[in-house]
Amino acid sequence: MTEATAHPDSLPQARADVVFRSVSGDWVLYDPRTQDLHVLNVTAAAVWLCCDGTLDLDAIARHLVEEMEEAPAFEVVREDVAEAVARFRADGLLE
Amino acid sequence: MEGRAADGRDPSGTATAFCREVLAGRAPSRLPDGTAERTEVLGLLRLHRLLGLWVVERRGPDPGPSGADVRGPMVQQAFHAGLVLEAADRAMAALRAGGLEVLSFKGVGLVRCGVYVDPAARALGDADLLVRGGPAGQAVQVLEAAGFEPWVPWDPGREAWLPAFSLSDATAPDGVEVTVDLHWRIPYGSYRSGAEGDGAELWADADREGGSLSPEAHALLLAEHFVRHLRVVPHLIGLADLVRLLPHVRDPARLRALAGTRRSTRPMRAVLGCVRDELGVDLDPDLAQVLEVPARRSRREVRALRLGAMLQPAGGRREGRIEGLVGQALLQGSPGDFLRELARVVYPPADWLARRAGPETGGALRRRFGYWRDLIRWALGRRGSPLSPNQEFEDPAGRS
Repeated sequence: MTEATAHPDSLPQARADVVFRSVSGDWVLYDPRTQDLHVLNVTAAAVWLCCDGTLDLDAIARHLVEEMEEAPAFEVVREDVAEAVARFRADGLLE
Repeated sequence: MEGRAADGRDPSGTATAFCREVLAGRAPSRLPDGTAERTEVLGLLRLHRLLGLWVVERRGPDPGPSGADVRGPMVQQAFHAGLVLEAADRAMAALRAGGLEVLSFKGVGLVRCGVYVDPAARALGDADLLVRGGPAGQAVQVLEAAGFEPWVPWDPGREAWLPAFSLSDATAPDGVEVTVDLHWRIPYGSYRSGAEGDGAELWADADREGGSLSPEAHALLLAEHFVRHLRVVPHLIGLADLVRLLPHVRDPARLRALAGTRRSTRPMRAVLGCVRDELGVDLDPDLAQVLEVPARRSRREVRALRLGAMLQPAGGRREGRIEGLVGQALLQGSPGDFLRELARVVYPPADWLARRAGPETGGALRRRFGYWRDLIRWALGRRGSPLSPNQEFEDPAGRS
């Protein structure tokens, strides 16, 4: 997944009808339109919570770095954020 | 569906043993190695809604199931269970705010009182709530105001001829059915759902603040429900529930007294004997003594409650519902009890039939023939039970 597919200039916004829940140690998104259940890793779950339409990818990555106790380099986190957002977009979970 | 023994045969020995261990709380750490056996086991775990229980309780060095055939359904089950729990909490809060007392029982109750620590272990089809403190119609109104939609329109006459009413959570996401079953009586020990006492014995030692039945009352209900369900499909998850609840039972004498009050001593003994012999679970000696669980089960108990047969899907059992009905009859009590129950089912009182049919239907004879027609169709597996809540009429949404 490339950064270009993640629309780096956009402010990703989660669709309001997508349901986010913690399930037995996992995080899942349920899309009522497709009735698909998406299992997220911890980073993707954190990214999803930041997709409020006010933060761009850099801001989300900065926020995650601040929240992590032993954060990897900003560039690494930024890459993970871009990948997660690209996946959300590909799955139709963003506005 | 995988794991089906469509010809009515028992599952393989490997699959039966695997399911026995899961039910008994000794979850194997890994699935069988062979593809066919693995497929059969997974099919049975899914069919009997035990997949989450196995995944959560499994132990051992194996790093854990990660295949899509395990993880996907397990997460799906756990997600649904989470929504059911949320709906139950919302419904209970609304009912209390409306001045009614409410307890949860079976799946939701067992999770909420800590018998299942991880909710993902217990598949939840719906939330069973028991209410009192006002007419059932009031509870229905409260839930409607809280965002729940009745499956069928509420009719005040229902309170007299049925013990429960189902409502869907209208706030659940599209594509997910979340149901609350509102009970005002729990006559699981009876064939026909009618006015069999007010159930005050269940409230006597309940944790009303926490919204839970006492472990003793809960254990009895689970046993009653298990026997009742034999005529539909064996509710094996109920055996798993009972195995996990029994260590919480502190007062066997209370359980014995409750069983006597509800005329369920015999089914309770039979189910405990099944837990001991079919699942290999040691019963607490005090409990076995006070309940007078025989050291050896009778032939009819073995016939009615044999794990291999119960693991078969209902569709694969030759006699289907009738076999379950016979099994229930074998465990229900004395021949006199059985005949009394049968008479109540075959020839219910005219006022019960009138309430069931509603005020706008034809004469008494027509109602009675309609009821018998429904009963026969149920026995043939062509419709839901005319005696059970929300299966009594063909549901336009196909839920019955």
